[in-house]
Amino acid sequence: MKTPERIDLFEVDSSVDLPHGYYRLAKNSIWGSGYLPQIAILPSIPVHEPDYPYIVDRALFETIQDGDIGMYSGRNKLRVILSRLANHNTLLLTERCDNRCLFCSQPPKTREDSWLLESAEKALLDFNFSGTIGLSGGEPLLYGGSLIKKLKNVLSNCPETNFHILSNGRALKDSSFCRELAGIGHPGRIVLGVPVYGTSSDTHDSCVDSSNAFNETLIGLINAGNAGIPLEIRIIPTKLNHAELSGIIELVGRCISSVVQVSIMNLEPTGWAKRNWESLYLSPSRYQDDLIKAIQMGQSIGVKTVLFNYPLCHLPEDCRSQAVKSISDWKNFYPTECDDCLVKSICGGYFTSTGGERFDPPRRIA
Amino acid sequence: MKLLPFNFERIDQQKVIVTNIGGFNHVMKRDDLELLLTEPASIPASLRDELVSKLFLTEVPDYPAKKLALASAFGRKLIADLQFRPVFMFVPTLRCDHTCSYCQVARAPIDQPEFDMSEKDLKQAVSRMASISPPPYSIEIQGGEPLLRFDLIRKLYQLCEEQISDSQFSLVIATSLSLVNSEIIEWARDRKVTFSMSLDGTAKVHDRHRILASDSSHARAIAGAKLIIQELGPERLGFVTTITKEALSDPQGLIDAYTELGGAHMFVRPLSPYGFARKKGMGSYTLKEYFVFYRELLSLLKKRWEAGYEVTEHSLGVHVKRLQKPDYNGYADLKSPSGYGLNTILFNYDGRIFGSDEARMLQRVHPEIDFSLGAVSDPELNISNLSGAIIEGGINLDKPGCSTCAYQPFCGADPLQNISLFGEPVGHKAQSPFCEYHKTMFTIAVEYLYGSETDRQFIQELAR
Repeated sequence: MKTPERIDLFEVDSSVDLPHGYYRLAKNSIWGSGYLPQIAILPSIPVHEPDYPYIVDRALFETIQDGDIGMYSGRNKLRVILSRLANHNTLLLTERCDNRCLFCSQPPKTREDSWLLESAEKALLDFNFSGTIGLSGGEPLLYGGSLIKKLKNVLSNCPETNFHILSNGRALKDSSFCRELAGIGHPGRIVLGVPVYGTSSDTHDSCVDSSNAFNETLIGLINAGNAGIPLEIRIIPTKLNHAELSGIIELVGRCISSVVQVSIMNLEPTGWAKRNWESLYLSPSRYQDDLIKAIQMGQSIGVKTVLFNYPLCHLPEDCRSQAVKSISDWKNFYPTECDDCLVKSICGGYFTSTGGERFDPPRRIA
Repeated sequence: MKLLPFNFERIDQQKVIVTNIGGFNHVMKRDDLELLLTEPASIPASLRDELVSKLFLTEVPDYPAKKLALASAFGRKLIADLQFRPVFMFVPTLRCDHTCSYCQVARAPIDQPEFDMSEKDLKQAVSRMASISPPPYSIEIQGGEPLLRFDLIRKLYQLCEEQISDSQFSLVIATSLSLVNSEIIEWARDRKVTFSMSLDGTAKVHDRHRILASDSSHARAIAGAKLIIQELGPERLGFVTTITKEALSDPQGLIDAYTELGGAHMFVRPLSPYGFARKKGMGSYTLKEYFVFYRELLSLLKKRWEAGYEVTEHSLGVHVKRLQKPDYNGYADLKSPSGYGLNTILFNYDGRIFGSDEARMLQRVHPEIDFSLGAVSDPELNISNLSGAIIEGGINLDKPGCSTCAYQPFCGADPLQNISLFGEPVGHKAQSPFCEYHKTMFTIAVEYLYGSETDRQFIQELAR
């Protein structure tokens, strides 16, 4: 494992036996009352034993801000899941999903896990963030009406919190559910990120290893766009679909309303993508013409198109200005070869999960 | 496999363009089109993928969703074309110091002040503008020669400043520049005012039809242009070119005329078949002749672009944008419904309101018919039966000749031209100069867009 740009997982000793779950992390001492239980994070062993649960960990203390949210595993491991110092914050709402994407970074499970949604609501209320928080899964929209109820509660109590929901969009084929979702936030407070992996069932359904997914997603996107929900369309190029990039952009650009961005995302070597790496991963140099065509399509049709998760040196020169430094800091790293690179500071770098045979080394640019 | 509905049109002996109501388009071999219609399963795989991606062809299980996607794409285009974002045109006077042989509006003689707008009407027009649509306001001053009544333009600007919050308005003055002087320049300096001038080509070409009694129109125009560029900057001056018979033989001369003024942004149009322009036998030409010229102009512009110069040409740019961008609705002629009343509200010198510049031109030719939307003094717009028919005629989707045309999803209609030429707003598309002009422009755009990579880059740049 490579060292990430921000560490989010800590081995800790707590003062008492804490149950597994979400906690509000208080610096120094407990204050106020919230929806989640609190733990104090202390930089050194206190002189007087406090009457509240605490963890002594200097590194953790220095990583967090008062009011960040952590998940305690119950086995002395604490992960900071909402951090005011992080470049992105994402909450996992469920591990259940109705797609089986070959490259899923969070392989789905079937067990009931709605405690994640219950805890997420409390965490979001306590965190009361000014900015956008990602909600992902699994498939968050599988919760249907109960998700809408909880999001509505957070949106009305946290006026500066906005959401980016990552969804396969299939649930939105139900247009009344779609309108209900659109109705809970002022325009722009909820953005949906929906992957489209092909221009037909043939390709898309193979990528998500599920039948009827493409048709439901396409109808869902039409509904969501018409309901005025801003949409980010996500495409992951693989050996199966790289030739369809510009076709997907034209399809969504012409047919779907409210598309604010198309994001082309480099494959992340984690979850199922690892075991399918050989059959999926294509070095960007092998499909650079498709990338160039896709960027041109975005420009000519008037849809903002960006490239996520690509080291700049893997991209053809014409496409580099579309690249975004997008990898979350807790899973982002730069190999030593990058140390002297002049564009390192604006480059997205690599996933920490990139290693061994899945490491596509940096090239020399300029 | 199953076909989705589409139209097609021949590009040349070998190639056809196919398009659908969603605005997807593709150029393919005629043989492949025949195959597509008879044995869709046997067309080459790469073409099949392209046609599937563009909603011409689909696997049967995808048909319902693809059909909905096509309808959704159509809906988006329609909503974009229905947007009410008018340019507000003001005609402070119909009088003009020029007597151009192809004048479209039948200018009024310089000594007849009854062709000027009254201050009262001007005030009411500004109030109407503010009540008709929300800011920001794009205002275009037309004529006659509007600078004959510079005092009214000043007054208009002042009224806008008083009535429109945060100065959310800007002015373009369409003028021959014959009357521009230091007083006007100083006034414009710190205001949101730009100028749009006619530039027909070399001095000889320009002066052949743009006739100024006392001087060379071209010399005055160039002097005025240089003054604006020097004092206010090149971004404050735009150009419009009307191609006359004399200009046809000299596309390089036109480029030189622009270059002399440092103008990189061309806007080139054929003579309008409107109003008096058509009737005066001032040496008209056919559109075939025009396109020989225009294609030559494009190849010269391409050489210039290849040599590293910036070049744009607005007319073809509009056709390229319509082919490519589902939300582009900025050109009144190329949208369905047409821009009549949606892209233009015109306040005429006589206090009447018109839905387009062409409507007031036609009004001059047919004084016995009321083409207006009422007067500025009326409590609300008057949509007469004639205006209703004009709006209806501006929808191309269901019109004979349009409904089967491959360019219909990108094109528009000009019901006023149809009234002028055919006596009614729909017209006979096979005989329509609007149709011939725009179909040829679309064909040229498509030839470049689907041509070599250099051609594609050039046309993309030209349309910027």
